Amino acid sequence: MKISSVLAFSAGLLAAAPALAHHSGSMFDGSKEVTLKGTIKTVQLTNPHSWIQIMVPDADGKMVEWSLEAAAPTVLVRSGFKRTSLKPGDKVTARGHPLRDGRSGANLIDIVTSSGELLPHKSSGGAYE
Amino acid sequence: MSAYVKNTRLICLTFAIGLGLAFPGSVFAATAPAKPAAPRSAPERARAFAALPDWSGIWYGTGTLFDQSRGGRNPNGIGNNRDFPPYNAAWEAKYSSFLERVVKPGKFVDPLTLGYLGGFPRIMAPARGLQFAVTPEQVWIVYERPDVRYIYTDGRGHPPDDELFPSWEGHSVGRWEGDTLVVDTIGIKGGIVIDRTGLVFSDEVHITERIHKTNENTLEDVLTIVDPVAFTRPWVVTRHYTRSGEKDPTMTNVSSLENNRNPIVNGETTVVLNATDFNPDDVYPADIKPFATP
Repeated sequence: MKISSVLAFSAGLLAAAPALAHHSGSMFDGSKEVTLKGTIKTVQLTNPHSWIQIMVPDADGKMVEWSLEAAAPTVLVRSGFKRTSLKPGDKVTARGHPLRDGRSGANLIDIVTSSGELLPHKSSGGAYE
Repeated sequence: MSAYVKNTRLICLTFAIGLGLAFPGSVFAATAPAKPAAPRSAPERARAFAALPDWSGIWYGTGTLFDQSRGGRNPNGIGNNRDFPPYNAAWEAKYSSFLERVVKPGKFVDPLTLGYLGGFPRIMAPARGLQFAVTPEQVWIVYERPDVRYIYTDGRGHPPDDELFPSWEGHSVGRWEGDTLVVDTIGIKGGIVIDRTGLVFSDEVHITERIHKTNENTLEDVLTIVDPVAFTRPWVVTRHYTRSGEKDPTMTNVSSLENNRNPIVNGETTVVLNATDFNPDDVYPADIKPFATP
């Protein structure tokens, strides 16, 4: 799958940033990273996982909907997210660990909002999510 | 009780007594219940409260593996992808089959996805905030999920075998040795998944803990796990928790099944990528909607 605005998959840098240890299930590949530059379509601040839908142009300019899984809202708040931080129509850059099966989904690492604020998806890891 | 279970309990008790001799100060289960401590007067109770350590605040653990001593990596491609409990051959084979499924997308269904509890000891590997409510009679370990452990420190023992029903959290009794809480737990349901690699114990598992603060902002839990059915020897796992520096954090409960975009289909965990195609409210009749779709 070629997506022009997705940077090359790179080896994970998790060893250098243990606080950002992977938080979700086995369907995401913690050793890979994708960068998505696109426009927010939907923001679902829900328990137990929030979801951010981003429209990202592929190599042919066709819009692909990417689903980014993130933590519950009260956990996001602890990383500096506010209810109003992300809105449909915002242009953002997000990093995530992609789905192992290659589909357009990822577990959020961090996101730069349209006002330039970097919001990390801080998670302590943990077996009991 | 079957002869097999009786023999197993005898082995377990002998094991535990041996442990008690090997680890002075550790608590082992007595099957005869001790009498609860007599009720205290209000001033006595106030003094008992004042003597308890301060474990207030929100505590966060680290790592997705239960045992962090080998690098604490998760089964998603980096470093160690498994725990190393002292399984016997049969249980190691069972664990290996789970590990193979974990790395195949969707093949390993974590019971949490289905709305089941994590229980104990999974609660001691939290992804969210853990709190300790410490009273003279009980210590409650409260997890932001929700999930709770009840640790009775009022002098009672475990219930007799024919009154003990296995539970997610087990039956825990404890006592204070200075500022260290010594806990003894039996009666945990067998086979519940402890971490995302598929770590499981048998229903004969017997866990003792020593919990104390190593400094103002660090809590330590040393768990000694004895499983006469699954293990060849006791397994000692040490976990640490850091007190959060957040100002006035909000705690909340979550349900696995809200906005569930990971439905189980044909025994596999799936992920729904088109948010607008998936309406979790569709499982309910239109006139009985427990909550609004976001």
